[in-house]
Amino acid sequence: MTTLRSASDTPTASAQSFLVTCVVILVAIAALFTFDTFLARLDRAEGKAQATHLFLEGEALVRANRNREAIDRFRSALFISRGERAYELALARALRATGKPADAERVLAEMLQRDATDAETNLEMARVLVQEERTAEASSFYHRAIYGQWKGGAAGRLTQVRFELIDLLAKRGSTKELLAELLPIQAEGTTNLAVRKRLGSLFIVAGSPERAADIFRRILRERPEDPEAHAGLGEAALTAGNYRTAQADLLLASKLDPENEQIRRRLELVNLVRALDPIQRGLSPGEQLQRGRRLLELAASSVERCAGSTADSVKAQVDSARAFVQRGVRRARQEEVFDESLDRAERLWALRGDRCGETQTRDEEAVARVLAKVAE
Amino acid sequence: MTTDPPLSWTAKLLGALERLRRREDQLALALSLVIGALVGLVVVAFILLTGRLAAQMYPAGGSGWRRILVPTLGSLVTGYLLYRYFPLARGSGIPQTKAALFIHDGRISLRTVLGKFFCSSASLASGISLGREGPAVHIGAGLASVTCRRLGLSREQVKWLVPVGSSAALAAAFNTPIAAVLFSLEEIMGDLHAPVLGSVVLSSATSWMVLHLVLGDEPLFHVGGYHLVNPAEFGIYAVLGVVGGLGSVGFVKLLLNLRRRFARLPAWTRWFQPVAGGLTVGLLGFFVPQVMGVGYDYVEQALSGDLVFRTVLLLAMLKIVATAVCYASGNAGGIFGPSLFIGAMMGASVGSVAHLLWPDATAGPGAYALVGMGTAFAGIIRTPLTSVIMIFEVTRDYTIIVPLMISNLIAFFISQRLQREPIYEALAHQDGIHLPTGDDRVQQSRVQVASAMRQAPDALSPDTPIAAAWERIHQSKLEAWPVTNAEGFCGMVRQDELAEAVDRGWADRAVSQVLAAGGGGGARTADVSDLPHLFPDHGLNTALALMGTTNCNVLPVVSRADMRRLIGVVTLDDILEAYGVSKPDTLEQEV
Repeated sequence: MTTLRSASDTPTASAQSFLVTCVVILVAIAALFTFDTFLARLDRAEGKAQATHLFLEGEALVRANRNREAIDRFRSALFISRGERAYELALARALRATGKPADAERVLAEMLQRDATDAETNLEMARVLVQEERTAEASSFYHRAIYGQWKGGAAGRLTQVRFELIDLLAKRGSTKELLAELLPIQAEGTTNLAVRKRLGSLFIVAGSPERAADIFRRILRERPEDPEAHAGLGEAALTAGNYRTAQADLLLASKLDPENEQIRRRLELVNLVRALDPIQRGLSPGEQLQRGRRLLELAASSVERCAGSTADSVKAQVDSARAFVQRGVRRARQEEVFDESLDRAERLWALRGDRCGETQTRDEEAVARVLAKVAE
Repeated sequence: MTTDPPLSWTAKLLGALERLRRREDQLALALSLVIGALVGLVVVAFILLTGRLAAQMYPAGGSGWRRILVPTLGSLVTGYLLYRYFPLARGSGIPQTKAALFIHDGRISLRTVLGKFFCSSASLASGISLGREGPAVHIGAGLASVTCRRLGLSREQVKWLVPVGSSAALAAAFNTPIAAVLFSLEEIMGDLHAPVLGSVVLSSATSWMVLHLVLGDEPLFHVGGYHLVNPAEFGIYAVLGVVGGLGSVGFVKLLLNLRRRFARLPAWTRWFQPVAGGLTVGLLGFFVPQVMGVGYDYVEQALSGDLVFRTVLLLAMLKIVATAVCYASGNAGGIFGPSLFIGAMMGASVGSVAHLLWPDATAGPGAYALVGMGTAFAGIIRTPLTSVIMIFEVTRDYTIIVPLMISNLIAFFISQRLQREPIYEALAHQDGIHLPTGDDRVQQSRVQVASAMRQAPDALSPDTPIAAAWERIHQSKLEAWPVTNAEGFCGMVRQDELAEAVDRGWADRAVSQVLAAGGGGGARTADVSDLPHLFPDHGLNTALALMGTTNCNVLPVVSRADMRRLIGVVTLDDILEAYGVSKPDTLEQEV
């Protein structure tokens, strides 16, 4: 132990005085400890109250869409009550809302380091990653949210989160993953009508129209005059390529809900598809040829409209297609010309796919559906 | 046969206390624990009371005009109190603690402690742009001084326990037990190998435990884990070191310059000079509230990279001005906290620019703010070792330690080159106090025994008759003579001891008899290490101290590898000559 350099020094107070001073010091220590503990408790309680007040102010500012000011409140609340989960989540949400996903990600990453299974935190992280267009990673965090621990109880949240993920997958066009997410929800056998209808629509997007049709048929057994269910059934049939059935269902839906603009538009589409479909049963060769040429003409127009005059090769093909359509055809060659019309239409449509995005107009959608069916 | 009556418990207790008082090592242990606990609790009370007072002075939703009025009035009140009642409580407290240690035998009065406590608390609560750590150190040192004096300890004991109090205070104020120990040794005592190391460590640990018992275990700043993104960042951290060094020098020079100007004002203005600081902070704070007080919450924001470039640059500059004016005008408060603030903002500024230019190769501004804190601390306070450990302890982040060390050292060297005198010594100098500097200590240790000693004379043998020995040495100027046997050096025999032996009629006896009789420099012992001796690399101050203790002005110089090997002897005259002091007979000749 360290020694004091006092070999020759002698104490200058008596033993009794030394004892009294020791006692005074010990009493002072005890008193100070009590005082400090009391003061610290008071401080913590007031600090907590202040932090809560700041947090509530921040939430009010968020509701008023003043997210930047809300961020300051949340940060101040967190400085007082560090590690308070609700405050951190609120801060992350506010940061995301102000277009600072990187900052939000940092806050959430720290939270996840402390508790990787927190469902709310994982959900918020997923939303941040969506904003940063890192959808593959976002998908992973959505799963962690779905299978994580919900601190306030998961009632009603899980389905909502699942649908959020599903919407993301639908937007990305990840049909397999989408289907994988839809199946568990279907298996749960929800009785919520809106959820069932949404599920049906999503099965169509996921490329499983049979399952969609099944859902809508069940709904119609319970509610035979539900126009949305009829429309859904029609949509499923349309996707499956059963245009006649689709037309019948959509017609019925339209009669049940004449004001529904969307049903009316889908019906028009189906009508157009049926009018364009060259491989429909019962068509004469002449009718087939006419439809094939019409298909080619529409494809050429679509390519010309979206690709423009970007390349001579495109213009050449479009002009060639138009000339082909104008050409006269002898009866003997109708089938041959019909086949060539379809070939040209498919080639033009493939060219369109390389240069243009999704279909924009009703005509284009109809052409796309017919050509998809022809390709099958 | 009579037996003594059994002792009462009071008598037993008094006896135990008396024994404790006499046993230095046990006393040091006990006092370190007691001082650690006491100082820790007082500093915690200081922190909590200051916070509560600040909350009263600045209630939530208060008017902006408070930010001008409160610091102005606060500094007016504390200025008067400091002038009238507590003149020794001005300033940060660290130069005052050092002055107490090196000049006033560790004496700090209770009045000064109380004045420091209340005036600093009021000052900081009113928004003055100073820190709490310096006052805490002064309070801790003062409490140790008062406690030890009340316990009746000697001056030397009181003096050595002052750093124990300061270490406990800093451990509690900053929640940095290791840095507190280092600071007490590196800055307060100026000696990392000080003999009170153990006591300082114990008191720091005790104080830290007390802090945790009362306030819990939270680091001062909460930061995410930063790490090096690209080795090229070392270059940027080096740039930060340069910027931090220059910024530190700028701050120190501004502070000293302003203080000099305030000191030149008439003495009757002293009591309201602090108002200049209060008003400056108030006016700046009205527009930029972040410069008021210590601002640790804004430091945390900078560490999280949440402040934009313009903001951090502005805050760095304004804080330099605000702190310099507040301190120079005589407000009570320290510069630790503001140093961290300035450093964090400077670091964040450099980091913002670097991240803008090379976003993929650099960490965010928060990492640079973290390193910047240590850089400014090393540049301003000039304790590089303490600053590295302190930054680690306040953030609990070890991942950025290497860039921190590099940046700190660069800032330290720049500061040393451009501002020769460290700030605390310069401040004491301005008050007319000349504290021992690091150079002084280095100087002392440079002059060694080896450079002053002379060749040993032909040694006596233990078997030499006393009369023959006396005949041989009595005309020599050497007061004592070495004695060697077959094994080597075995002691020194004094001329007066031999003379006394002859008078006693021991002329025919051997010199070994005189050695056996003992005495100032001639005790006989089988163990040479028990004899007074020196090694060649001992400082001359050690030699002088030993001469004083043994009352003999000739000492043997032996080898560290073999203490029986006599290398030479050193006399008082040799030491004086080594220091450049002329011999008296030489002086007479010159006259």
